[in-house]
Amino acid sequence: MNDLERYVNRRFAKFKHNKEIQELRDEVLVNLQARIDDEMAQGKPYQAAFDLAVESLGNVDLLIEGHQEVARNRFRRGAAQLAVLYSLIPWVITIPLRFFHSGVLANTGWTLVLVITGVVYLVLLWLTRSDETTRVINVRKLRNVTKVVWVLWGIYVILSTCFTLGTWFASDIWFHRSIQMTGPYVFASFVVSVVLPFVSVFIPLYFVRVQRLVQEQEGFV
Amino acid sequence: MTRRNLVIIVLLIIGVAALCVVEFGFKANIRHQQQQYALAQLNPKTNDFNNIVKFKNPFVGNNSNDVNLNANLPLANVPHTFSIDSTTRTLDVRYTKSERDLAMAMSQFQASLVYNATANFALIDNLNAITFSFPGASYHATRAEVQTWYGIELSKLSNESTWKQKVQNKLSDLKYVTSAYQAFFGRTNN
Amino acid sequence: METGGEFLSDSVSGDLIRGNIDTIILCVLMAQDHYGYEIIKAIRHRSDDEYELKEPTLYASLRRLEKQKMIQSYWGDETQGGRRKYYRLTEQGKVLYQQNLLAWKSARNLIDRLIAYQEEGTE
Repeated sequence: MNDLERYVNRRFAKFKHNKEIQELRDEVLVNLQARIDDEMAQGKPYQAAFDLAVESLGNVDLLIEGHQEVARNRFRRGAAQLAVLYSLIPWVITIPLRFFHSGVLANTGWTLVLVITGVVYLVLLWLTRSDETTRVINVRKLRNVTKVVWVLWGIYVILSTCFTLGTWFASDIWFHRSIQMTGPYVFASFVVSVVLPFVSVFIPLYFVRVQRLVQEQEGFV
Repeated sequence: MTRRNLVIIVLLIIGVAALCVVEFGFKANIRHQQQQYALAQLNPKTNDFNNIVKFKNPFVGNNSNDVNLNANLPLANVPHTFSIDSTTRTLDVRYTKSERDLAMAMSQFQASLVYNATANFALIDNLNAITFSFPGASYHATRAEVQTWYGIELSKLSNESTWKQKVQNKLSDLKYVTSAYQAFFGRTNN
Repeated sequence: METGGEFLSDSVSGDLIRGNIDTIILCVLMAQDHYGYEIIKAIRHRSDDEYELKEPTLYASLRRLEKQKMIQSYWGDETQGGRRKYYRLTEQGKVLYQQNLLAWKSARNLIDRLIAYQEEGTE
């Protein structure tokens, strides 16, 4: 095994060793070797040819599907800004719901989230004014994370709806009483309790939006 | 990027404004109204009949109902305990503060007792007699006495207009209050 | 900005070349089957050393074309070193090449007419 092979193996080490990746590795290795041979045939010393080959290859991550190169800090700022926006909207939505106890709880929670995302965003803005290094995002991993978040959100929403219905109606159902609301305010309070968990949909929506942010970065690097 | 920042700032402003309106406008208003309402319940002239009629109950033995009813009547804010004699079907409301410590005008005190006695008899069907006990003094009234005073069966005082007409509005007249007080509790105040 | 190659001229040409890289590779394969580095060499040669195609752009393009079934890969039988992955044009690939070439020529003509300064009297 020569230098080049060791180099290529190291670059490919972190990926799954399936057939597709192996074949790409073989192809990359052969082409780089051909390049080195070519450069040396034109008179360059081995080390210089090697360096040229390495430089030409660039970041192997980009060759593997599902990766996107982004401007690291611009991406971070964009993601942080989106986080502020996606916590701001549910915060505003839950403000009028503060007439109900459940609304006060929810709004206070979102206020906390908003403060955190706001601070993170401002800190990022301050700290990363310059510095345009790039970073590779694994888009496939991001997509999988997003799917997981959707599933978790679905579970959360189902559980809290069952819980809310339970606390409101379980004793009525158990004792075979008819379900009744003693007035419009009570009815509204019930509706709000059921609807509130759904406001958290902005969390999975945020991940979806970040995926789009990564794609948008394609032209910017 | 800057346009999004603008949206963020606008939303923040809207949110803070809405927050102020909701918390310091509407909710403060509601809280104030609730306080005013609670205060009004302690005054026999402004006690809300619709708020106590839901405690209409056949039995004085229903402890929690007795407690709940009196919790929405005048003098509810004075610490008290209950005692029930089931043979004589008498309800004894024992206040821990003396009359002097109540810092209440005589007319107000008398009107409250008159109102409370009436309410308890009207809404607790099998109640025979009621006693309001204070350290050093107690006031006892029977259903018969109170019924004689009003001239009708007390359980018939079951809707707001009748209640206002026959019981509550008359309490504005000081002479009426003193007479009713004497008729119910059989004494003048010392 | 991502550069697919190196230039003596400015980055506008970079975008233009990159925009047509698929067609350029198809053209190279029209002549004969090639493996990866051979394609880079062919393009370098045809451009008189003015354009150096970099590996990331090459592999992205090859993968794209193969997915679209415009080219087909096969492993060569090498006596020395590792096996090489060769690419050949499919029938569809040849058709696509002709289409793209035509499209480029019309676009080029149109832009020529629009972009070149004419003597007075023309609008």
